[in-house]
Amino acid sequence: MGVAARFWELLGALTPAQLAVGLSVTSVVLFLVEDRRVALLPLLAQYLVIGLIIGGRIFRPVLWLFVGFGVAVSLVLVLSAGRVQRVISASALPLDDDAEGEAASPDATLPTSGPVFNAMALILAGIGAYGVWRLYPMEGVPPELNLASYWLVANGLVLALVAQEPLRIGFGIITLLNGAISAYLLLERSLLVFALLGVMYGMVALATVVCTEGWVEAHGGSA
Amino acid sequence: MTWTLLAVAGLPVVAALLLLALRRVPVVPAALASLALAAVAALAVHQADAAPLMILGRSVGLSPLSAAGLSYCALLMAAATLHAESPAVGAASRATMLAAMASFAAAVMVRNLTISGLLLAIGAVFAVILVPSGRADLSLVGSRALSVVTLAVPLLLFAVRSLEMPGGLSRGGVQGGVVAVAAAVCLALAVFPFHVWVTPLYRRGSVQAVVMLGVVLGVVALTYLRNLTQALAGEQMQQHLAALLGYAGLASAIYGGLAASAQRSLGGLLAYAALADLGVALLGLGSATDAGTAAAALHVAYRGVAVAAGAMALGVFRQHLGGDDDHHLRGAVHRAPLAVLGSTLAILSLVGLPLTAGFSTRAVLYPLAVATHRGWGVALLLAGAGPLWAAARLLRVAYAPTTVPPARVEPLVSGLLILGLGALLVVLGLLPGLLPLEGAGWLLPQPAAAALLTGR
Repeated sequence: MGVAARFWELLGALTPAQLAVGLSVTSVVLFLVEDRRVALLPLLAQYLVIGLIIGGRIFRPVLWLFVGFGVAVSLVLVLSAGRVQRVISASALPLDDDAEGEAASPDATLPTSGPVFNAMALILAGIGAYGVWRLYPMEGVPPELNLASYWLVANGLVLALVAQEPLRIGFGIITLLNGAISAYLLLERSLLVFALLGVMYGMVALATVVCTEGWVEAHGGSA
Repeated sequence: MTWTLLAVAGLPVVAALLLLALRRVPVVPAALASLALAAVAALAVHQADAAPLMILGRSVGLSPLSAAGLSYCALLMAAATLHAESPAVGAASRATMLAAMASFAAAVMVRNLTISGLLLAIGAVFAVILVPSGRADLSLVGSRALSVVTLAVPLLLFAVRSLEMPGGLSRGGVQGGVVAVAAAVCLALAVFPFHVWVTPLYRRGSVQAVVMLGVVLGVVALTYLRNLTQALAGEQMQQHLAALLGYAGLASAIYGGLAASAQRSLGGLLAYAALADLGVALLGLGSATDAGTAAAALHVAYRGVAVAAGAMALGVFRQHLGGDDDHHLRGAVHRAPLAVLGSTLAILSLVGLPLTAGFSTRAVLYPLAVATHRGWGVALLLAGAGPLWAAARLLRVAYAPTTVPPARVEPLVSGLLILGLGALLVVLGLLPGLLPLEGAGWLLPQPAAAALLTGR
């Protein structure tokens, strides 16, 4: 048996609890990594794990569709991620839209919330997700996967709220969507719904890119 | 006929592709987009109550109220597209707008609530793309709008699922589904406190983005809500939903009214007056009475016309007068008379002055609020003074005499469009019976409609 086959066999043998842990780890890494290009890797891994969850319960090839979604979304975002990273590295940046046109001063730099703030926000998201899971466990979804999906939604929401530029907000939105879809597709198995969710992923990625390119342009980068 | 019904959603897509192909030809993009939207409006009215089709096992059709809503949205967008705006609004923006309209049309026509909700969300994301298009400084506003729209997606999906299951999806039962529906609709409507991203949009956004996200999205979301309540929610659930919408409406009306009083720019006034006005409409829906829901539906329609006229006037003032605050608007009536007069009528309707359309529906909605709770009526009246105060301050400046020799700077087409929409609000205010609208069934159970709307 080849290495690839063994790898897929190993992935297929993962329990719901292990998948839930994997999903949570990817979201934590996505939250904590500041480099936008590197952050695309945990985002891609999220799609892989969700594909394993859905595929394992519905139809195995669904895994490949999710991997396809992930690759497409990552490819759409990768160029913008590089531009944002270059702009951030290059100079001090205006804080927000209202500071547009003003000379950038050392005090008016893009606030990198810092690891302590991010860790506290993550803990808050975790407590919120756990509370909702205890109050509203979903019927028809394994408990550990249900908790992981609530966690992803809370994590994505917090990331979208605390982020200061469109690309990281976009990462948060996609994480939120991943969390909701990972639970929803265990309940709703319509092919049309699946296709429309794929379109939704594409549109969210496209909207994130449009906003990000505008942000890069407004901050003196080459869009 | 089959193709006619499908054309309601298909025509904007075809027009968007044509528009991209002809993007370098001057004048054509705006004319083509407006023509396509006018055709969608006509087709929607023509297909109202036609026999539904079955596509991929789902029922597709237009009820008279859905057709009226879709037609109204298409006509407003056609007017916004004709409005001569800065060159920044290019063919790509217009194609995006048409794609959003196609999605919204499909969302209104498909009677399966899950698919309809997803199409609504996809249309909303298309609409969000209009925010930063050609306006790089609004990229963060666009991102925040995207967050809000996307957050509504899981809420809608799980709400529909929860309402479809006899005991609900979780321990919260069907009640949880009702709360999720209310939250999703409040997010889509951008009511208080989810309005934060809308204010900068009104202040600096393009006319297309303001009309699409400030009016069309709200009308489509309310149409979806109507379909959902008719199909799934029982009488008790509908009362619960009505109460939630009523509270959201009250908070929006009070907050919007108070915040409007401090505004010294037309954009700021429009943003908060529109929020307060939406709050009044939600109070009507929250009353769950025939009179209240009918008046609320009309109020939403009048609000949309006023917002569209105001947004177009904003575009004219920003482009030709250099801004929309009291400094730039001084003596504006001498330089942009049609836009000033039209926007005056629109704002007077938005703040609910007598003889305007906005007053005719408030005359029904305020007594209903008082009947629900006397304190609500008092709070509404007091908060209603805020937009009136700010409007009086801005209008006094706009109509002030100027020492500079006046030179008309407004584009004629835009001026006439703004004046036409403003005049329409006065005509509808003088003849309030001109647009009779059946409100029954908005939040009332109709078992016969349920089977039709679920498409099963």
